[in-house]
Amino acid sequence: MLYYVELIITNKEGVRDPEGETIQRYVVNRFTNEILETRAGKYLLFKVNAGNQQEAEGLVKKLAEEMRLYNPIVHKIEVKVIKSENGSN
Amino acid sequence: MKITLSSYEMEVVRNKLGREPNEAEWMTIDALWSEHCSYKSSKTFLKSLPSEGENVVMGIEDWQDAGAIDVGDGWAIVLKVESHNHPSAIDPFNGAATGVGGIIRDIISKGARPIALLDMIRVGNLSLSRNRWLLKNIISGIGFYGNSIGVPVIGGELEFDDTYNDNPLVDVAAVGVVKKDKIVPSVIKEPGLKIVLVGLTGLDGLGGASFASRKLSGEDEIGAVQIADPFAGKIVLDVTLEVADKVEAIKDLGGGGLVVGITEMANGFGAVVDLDKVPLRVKDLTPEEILISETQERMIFAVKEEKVEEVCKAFEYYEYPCAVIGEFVKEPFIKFYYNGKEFVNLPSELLLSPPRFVWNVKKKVKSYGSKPEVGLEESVKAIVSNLISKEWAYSQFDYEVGTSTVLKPGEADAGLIALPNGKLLAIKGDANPDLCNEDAYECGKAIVAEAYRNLASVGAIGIGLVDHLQFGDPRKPEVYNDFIEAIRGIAEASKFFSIPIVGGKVSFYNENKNGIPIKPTPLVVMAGLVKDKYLRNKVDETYVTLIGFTRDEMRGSLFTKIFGSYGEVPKTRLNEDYLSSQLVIEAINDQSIIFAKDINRGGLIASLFSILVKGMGVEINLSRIPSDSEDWIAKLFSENSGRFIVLTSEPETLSKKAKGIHVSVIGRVTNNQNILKIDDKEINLEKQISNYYNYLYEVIS
Amino acid sequence: MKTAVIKFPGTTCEVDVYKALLEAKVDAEIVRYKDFDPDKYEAVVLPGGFSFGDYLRAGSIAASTETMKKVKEMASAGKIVIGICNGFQILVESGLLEGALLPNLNLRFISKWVYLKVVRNDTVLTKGLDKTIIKMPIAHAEGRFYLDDIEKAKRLAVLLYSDELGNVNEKVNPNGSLLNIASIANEEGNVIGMMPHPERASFKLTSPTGDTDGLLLFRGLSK
Repeated sequence: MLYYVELIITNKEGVRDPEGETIQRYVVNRFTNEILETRAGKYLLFKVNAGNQQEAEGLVKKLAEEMRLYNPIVHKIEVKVIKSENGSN
Repeated sequence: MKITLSSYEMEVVRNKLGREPNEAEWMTIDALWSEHCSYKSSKTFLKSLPSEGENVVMGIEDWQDAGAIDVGDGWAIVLKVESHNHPSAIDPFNGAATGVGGIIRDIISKGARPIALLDMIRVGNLSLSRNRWLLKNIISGIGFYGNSIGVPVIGGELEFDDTYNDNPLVDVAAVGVVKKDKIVPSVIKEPGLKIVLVGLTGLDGLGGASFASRKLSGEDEIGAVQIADPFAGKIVLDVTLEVADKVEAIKDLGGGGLVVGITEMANGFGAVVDLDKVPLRVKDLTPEEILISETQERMIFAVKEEKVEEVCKAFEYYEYPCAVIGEFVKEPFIKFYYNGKEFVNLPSELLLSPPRFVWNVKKKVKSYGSKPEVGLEESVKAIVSNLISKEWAYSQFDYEVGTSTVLKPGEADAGLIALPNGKLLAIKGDANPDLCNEDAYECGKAIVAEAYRNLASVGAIGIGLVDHLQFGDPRKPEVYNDFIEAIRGIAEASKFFSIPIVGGKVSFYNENKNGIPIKPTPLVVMAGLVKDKYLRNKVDETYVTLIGFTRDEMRGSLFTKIFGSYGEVPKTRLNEDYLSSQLVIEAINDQSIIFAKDINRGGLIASLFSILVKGMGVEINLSRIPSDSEDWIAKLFSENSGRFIVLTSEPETLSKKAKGIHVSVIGRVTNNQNILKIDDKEINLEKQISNYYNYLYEVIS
Repeated sequence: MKTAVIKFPGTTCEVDVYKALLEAKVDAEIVRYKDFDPDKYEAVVLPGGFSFGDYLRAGSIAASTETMKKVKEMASAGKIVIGICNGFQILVESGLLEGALLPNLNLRFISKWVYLKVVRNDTVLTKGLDKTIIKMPIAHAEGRFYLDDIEKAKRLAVLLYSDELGNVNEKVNPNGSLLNIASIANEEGNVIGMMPHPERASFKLTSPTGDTDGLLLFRGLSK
């Protein structure tokens, strides 16, 4: 089965995010007062061949760690399956 | 939060203070007495470095952040070198980027405008994926910061050695220009000034100064990571220079954060600071965290009360936070308040005078080998295979911003940049860990001599030097011995050439988790002025002339690194470097040479290779090379100093000028592309030349 | 033509551009972005650098400032607007020029001298230019020009990356730009954007061959 798995990489809490801060200060704040914080990150979307959802998530997590898609000292990751194909939707 | 003070040091504190310091006070003392900030293991010997001269405007005596040298017409240059070795091992991108940020802020702290950067990087063997990851991110980080703030990277070094596998060395040097009468000190001369802080304070780099003074332990070192924000850095750069003539002292906040910055700026006076006034990025920081946070892109200014509004207005134009957080006072105590309560109260004198340490010393015992059996073609190819173009790296740096870069990176053995008064400044950094590992004293002289020759090869004479002394744990007697010997060598060479040492840094504790120290890697950065003409290298079919005398002193050379150690350590005969350099400069001034390259790593063969990679061929005769031995290995691969290769159509003119040194026509440049002919042996180096240009591109991707 | 050189927070090339304009005998001055009054000038130059840190997308934050509203007024009034490198990115992000400037194909910053073929002579910078092949440096990470209308791109193009003989091919394209485009202008020709830095090719001392082709372009502003 084919699974679409998202990998979102952002800075850990407590680690500065100058890009998010700058967007907040110079763009968002000029637009509205209701948005209080902006954080920037990297978004990757994978199409995975796997037996089940856990397997698909697990594979992407392993990829991210072993191939250094993120730096665990500085970043945190979220892994999420958003849809599957060739079976159910 | 670990304290790095020894129990001996803690006793000294208790005795001097007459009481037990509280936690915040221990952290304060820990930061100020860390090796990184206090130089406690090195100061005794650093003071032996000659730092005076008629052109010195500010030297090490002032113990301020950067030394300044007069370059004429009322202008001075500020020269500084800095490293971010420990953070770069953990987060190479941010470690290298913040290294650039830090050194730029050190330059602007003098009211000087930064005009050039040099990057000198040493990583382990690129066959290990971790080293490739480190190198890629270090170069990326330097480009990220340097390009964003608009200061050109005009040159540098890139070397590989297994000794740096866990401990990359990331050295950044910077030059700034300032009018002599506008240089701003980083310490106050009188109390009563307000302390103005710009920038927001967060959680970055907690414990960073003590982190740099510890060895890498492999634990979760997140606290030490500082995130780089070059946009903030650029604002700080522009506005600091704008307000420089409105303030009494400037200091950037680096290792140890606010507490170190304020104590050092007070320089023996006192300070009263209200931490509630510090603009914060993160809501709930404890006062201890505010004290030693190492958030980047923050500066402190000592400002007369009536000028404060003007200074803050300049920062607020760019929406950059600015606040008065306290003032300098006559009473020599550093006091921090929080929530109305005093929570740090320490005598300035105590904070600025850690006990100095002179550790034990022991000479390294080195083993000898015998001369290896190796063929001519095999050895030539092995040596030149180690020579690679750095274009992959420097094409990631904006080296043209500022429209002052005369010689581009990779063009010559020194960078050359135009100063505001029209004079040309050459600048080069040099180190030689393999030689320093054999004999740190000879090596100390050798690297100063090499920088001197590098400058001469573009037509410049050195006027100032900064040094960066990078070693392992100083409490190990063999490491400390290397340290002292290297200083001795550097001091001697500097005195000989009359080139003062106007600043420098020490980085100890470069050891991996198994406690193995790196090869001793003292590094020097020399700046010099072109008095008359400069040389832009060209190759053409003409005579190859060797200036200087070749000696069979093979230890510490690239040849012995590859084939096995043997032989004697090359002795740096400073007079030969001086005389040969003078000759080269004279020849450049009367335009009788079209190409000059000094001989260093890889010996004569490496210097000839630099002609071959330009698409020409070279043929030489061994018998024409004057040497103290008939051994072809020594003639081709010895790295003894005092020598140059020049290309000239009038070698007799050169010979006539020679004073006390040999000038020998050893061969010719041919149009036989890729071919190096030694006597009657032709060696085709096409593969090696291709490797020269493509190695980094292929290995990194 | 009285020319303003705008400095945004993060702009790094304003002094270089100013010096080069003076060298080309143009009446110019550097103006900080909040202090810009469009009525005082007949031409405006947006120099290179990293305005607002290049955060989000290069030029995107600058594009939404009050300053750019005023620059748009100048453009509609037929005044001259020039964007160099980051300036080009700002013009594209603010809609004053068509298309987009994407990250270089090889995903890295590239710094080198290039040859450019002049293919349009109806802009203030290229009018009356007797050289068709000029040389100047590039230094950027987001310079890949893209437009979804190839015919239009051909019409708008002002400079193409070429070799020293004027041959335009993939080999000499440093960043993957559509059709090797290094510079475009609007249909009218009064708004021009270019990735290469003419100010860095305006001084003999720092030019590898001694040519100062940048001055040839800037001379168009000296009337």
